[in-house]
Amino acid sequence: MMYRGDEEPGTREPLPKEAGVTAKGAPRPSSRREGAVQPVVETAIACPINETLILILGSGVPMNGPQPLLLNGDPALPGKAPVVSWPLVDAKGRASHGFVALVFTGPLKGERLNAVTFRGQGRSVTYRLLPDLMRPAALAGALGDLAGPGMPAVVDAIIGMLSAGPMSRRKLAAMTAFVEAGAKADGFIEIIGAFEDGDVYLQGWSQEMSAGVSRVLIGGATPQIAECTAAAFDRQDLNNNGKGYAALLVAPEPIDPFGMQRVYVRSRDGWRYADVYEQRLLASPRDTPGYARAILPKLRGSAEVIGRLREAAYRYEGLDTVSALALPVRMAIDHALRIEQGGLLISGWLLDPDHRVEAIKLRRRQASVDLKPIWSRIDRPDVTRAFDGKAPFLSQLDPDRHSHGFVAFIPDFDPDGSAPIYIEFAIPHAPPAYLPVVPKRVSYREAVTRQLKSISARATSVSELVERHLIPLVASAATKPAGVEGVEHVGTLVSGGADTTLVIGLDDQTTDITTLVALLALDPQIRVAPIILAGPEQAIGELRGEIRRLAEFYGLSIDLVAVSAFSDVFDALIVGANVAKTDRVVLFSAALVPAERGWLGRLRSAHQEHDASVIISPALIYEDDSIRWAGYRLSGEEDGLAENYVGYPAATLDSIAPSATPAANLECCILSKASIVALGQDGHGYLGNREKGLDLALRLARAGLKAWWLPGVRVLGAEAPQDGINAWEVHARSVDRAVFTARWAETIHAMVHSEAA
Amino acid sequence: MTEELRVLVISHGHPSLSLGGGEIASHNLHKGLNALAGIKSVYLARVGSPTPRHAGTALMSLRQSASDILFHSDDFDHFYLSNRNTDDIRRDLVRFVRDINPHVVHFHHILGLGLEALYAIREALPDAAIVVTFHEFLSICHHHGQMVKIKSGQLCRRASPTDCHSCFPEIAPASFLKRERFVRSMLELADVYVSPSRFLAERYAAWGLSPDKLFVIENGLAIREPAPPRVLPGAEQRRSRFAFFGQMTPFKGVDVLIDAVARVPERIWGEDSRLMIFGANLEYQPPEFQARMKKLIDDAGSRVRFYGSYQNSEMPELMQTVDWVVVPSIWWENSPVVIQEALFHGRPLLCSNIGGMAEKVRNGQDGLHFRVGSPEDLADRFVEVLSNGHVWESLRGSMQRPLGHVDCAEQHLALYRAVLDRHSHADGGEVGQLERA
Repeated sequence: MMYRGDEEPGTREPLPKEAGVTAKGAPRPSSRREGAVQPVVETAIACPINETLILILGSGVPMNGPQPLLLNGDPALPGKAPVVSWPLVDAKGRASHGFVALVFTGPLKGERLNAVTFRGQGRSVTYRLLPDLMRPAALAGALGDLAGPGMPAVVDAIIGMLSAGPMSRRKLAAMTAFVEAGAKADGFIEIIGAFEDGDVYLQGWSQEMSAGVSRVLIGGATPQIAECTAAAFDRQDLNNNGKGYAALLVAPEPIDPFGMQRVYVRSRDGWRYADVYEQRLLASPRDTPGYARAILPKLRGSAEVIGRLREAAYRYEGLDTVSALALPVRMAIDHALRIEQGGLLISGWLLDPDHRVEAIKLRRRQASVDLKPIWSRIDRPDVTRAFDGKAPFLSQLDPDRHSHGFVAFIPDFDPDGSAPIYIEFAIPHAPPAYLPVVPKRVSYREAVTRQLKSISARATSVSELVERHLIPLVASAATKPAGVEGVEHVGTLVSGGADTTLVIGLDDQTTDITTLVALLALDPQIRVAPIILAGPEQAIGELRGEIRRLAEFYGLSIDLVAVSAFSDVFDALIVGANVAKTDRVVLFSAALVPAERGWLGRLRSAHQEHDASVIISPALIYEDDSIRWAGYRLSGEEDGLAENYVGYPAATLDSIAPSATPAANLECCILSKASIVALGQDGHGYLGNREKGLDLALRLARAGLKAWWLPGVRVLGAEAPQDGINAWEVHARSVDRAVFTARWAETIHAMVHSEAA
Repeated sequence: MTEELRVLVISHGHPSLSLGGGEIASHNLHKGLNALAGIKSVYLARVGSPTPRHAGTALMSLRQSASDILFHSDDFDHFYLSNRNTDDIRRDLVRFVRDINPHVVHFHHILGLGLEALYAIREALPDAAIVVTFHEFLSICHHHGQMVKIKSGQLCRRASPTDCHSCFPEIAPASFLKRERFVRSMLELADVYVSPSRFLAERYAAWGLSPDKLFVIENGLAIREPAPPRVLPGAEQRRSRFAFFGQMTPFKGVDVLIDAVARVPERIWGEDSRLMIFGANLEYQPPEFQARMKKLIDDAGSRVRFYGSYQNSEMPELMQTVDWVVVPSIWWENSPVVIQEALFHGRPLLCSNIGGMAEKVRNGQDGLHFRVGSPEDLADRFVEVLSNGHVWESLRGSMQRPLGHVDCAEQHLALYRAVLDRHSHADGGEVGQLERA
């Protein structure tokens, strides 16, 4: 059947006026009944679904199932299209059946589809697509007239075609249009209950509702296909003219409870829909389980259905239900720490001497992590003591078993802090119990510090905890790159002509700067050099008044740089170096103290002797005249990189000549500004400065910078307070060591071998 | 030099306002210099709260003589010996110093004025001779400059960041390192250093100051007449009146002294012996120490009399009532002015056997030593001198004469001229030229 504008009343779209014309100017071909395959050209109407799918409406012989076809008559573009056909109500001419086919136009690569050619059964029929397109709603409307009583089956088939393959918004919109066309109203949705994981609970009534599991189409702001598990219950107010239902909708994407307007259900005799009642009740995840529980006793349905609805009724409501359990099970969270990237470090204790809990899961929306296989246990004799003999642990707890504590690190668990986190206890033959978890946002360093400090460092479980949780935590930690928050000049203006800027890095331990500034001013070379003082915003803010006063008193030129997203002194040094206006920079950590005048000049001369791709560090001496840093050497043992002379008397250096070193010391060094700027920052996480500095120095080495150290130029660096030997420090060091080794072992190994060769 | 030699003497306190050996010594130098021909000295002393200051300037006068001026300074960091009020230094001190344009600036203390004052004056007067006199170990030791360990009370022989941290666990070795570097680097701006005792000079040399720059010049006394010996009343023939003069700080060993007095047997002490304590500033000491002192004095009964504080000008009068002067300090001491005064008035000394005391009091000639901190040993000395009347006479005969303030000034003058000569012969005149490696 072909459409002619004059023949078809009641169609909703304007149809082409030139009805009956097929090829340009060519007369309408008549049908022939010869045996030879003659190309037959008919017309058809196109209804695009999305960029690569088009529904085609035409008439011809009966076709069902996938049909081979050619796109635009091109034998190089064959395909198969699902087709549904139906006997025409008002058959004319050759065509006995109408059909709808779903054509995939991907192979055309964006070219317009003008014609499809069906081949099969010894014939080849080409349908030229009329230029005016039809929208799905229009097509759906037309089908009602064209297919008559066969309409539901046709719609079903079209829905089936569209359901295949990846779902998209436009596909869903099209499906909704088709379903809508023949659907009948039936009942209302009165309660919509949201769940955290995106499921939705519904309560309402309808006449023809069918209990069980089926697929439904949600219409509204966000059309979706969902699996619906529904059970019925009697309602007095319906006068036997329908039933109440409780249903659980589950979809691959979270369902939008606010935008839901109606739900389409396929019942015995076609599609029906239930509208969302105007005065519907919208329940939050906290409240939804309450409603589901209330109706549970009245529901009738199969065991599977009731089981699913019961599961919905016992979901998390934001409450701690563990602490009130009659069972001898108790848990508490000591801390839940959410670090920068969303990793979660959780620690607490679980007392479950009778092993009543089958599984313990950390939950957030649809994510669920089983804790028992991954956590590390820690002894908690205080928990044993606290609950011994007390309800609900009425019998005595085993005095020799204390491993109730636990620690676990789950990377990327809470990317944006936007949903509640809780622990779900799976208890056999009982509904789950819950414990809310409220994480605190901390930096990864703080998380490790707190964890290590909260347990006795001598506990035997510490190494396991460090290895399984803290090392991965630090290894995966990455912070935002530090940047310049603001630059302010104080003191005199340097007259130009300087070729080296002294960049001093502060950190959040820096509380006073007076002596350092004075010592710089007492050195005639530094007195006239441009100086940059970079540090965390807070420190710069607190010290700027003092620094301004000192800069003016001593006649120094200082640029104060406040650093945003600051982690450590190296951030300050790198950001500060970026601000320098000279080609050469000297980096200097404010924790160091100049030992003698002229050190900067000597570094500068040494740097001038080499080309710009060199980094040079002085020797660093401790406050007790022993050596703190004197370069490295590559060695076969000891992880490949060994420190020279650390701890030896400073006088050891008197007889040593300047030497190459695999890596320099970023706490004090001279290098070209371009080199340090090229380093950038990718925010590798470490707990302390030692490995961080070495990491950066190795990256510079890898970028081609040759490193030297000068035994004759000495700078002092006292042991920082937190470098002292205390137990948690030792563990922090081992974490950094492990993380560093994981990142660099291979490179260092290669360096050792290439040097040996 | 045909023109008058101008000297600026800087002290951390004015002797008319604050009692202390350093103030007296520095002021005596100033007076001594002004007594010499061709020299003009100006004395600048620090003053602080509760004395109120002028709003617009840190300089003030308080009606002192025309050659004395005061500089108000309150914003002092005792740890770094640093003055945070660099604006006052730049605006008022430097202006004043430029106006009087001295050839020599002689610091008798950095306390209160801050090392920044030294820096600023060096900057303002590149050609002047800058001299620093040390009166104690303040530049080396944060424990009141005493070099006595806090916890044990033991004497400290050497400073280092780690050792100092043991005395002050709340202060990190890193801070002591910074203190040491900062203080020493600033002091190195001076041309020469003066110490009243060899003992102190050697300590500073060990600390790192160049020995070539260290000179020993005793403090000069400005007293006219020695006090005649005490008049012995009637039957009493013993030289049995002992006195302590000075500030009642825990380092002065007054408790050792009182304890020693209590140990002398009654039959030796007799009715005529007495210990007189002329002690100032007890009320500024920690409350526990004040309470302990009061108790000790009470318990000692009639053997000990506490006379409270005194003016330095009263000393000749007070000396008249005294036979012996006891200096029982438990810290090293440098050159306590009371020793010089006792030498001047011919009062033999009993003193601890360490540091500046042992240097200035020759054992058996100027007085007798006892073991530092030992009340038993001091008690033995008491018994010795109370039992043997000739000891006093003998010592009095062999006691050395202290240096007068004018002679002291002359010795300083020679040093000033040597420095200025060296300056004028040096090329250029850059800052730091005179430093020895």
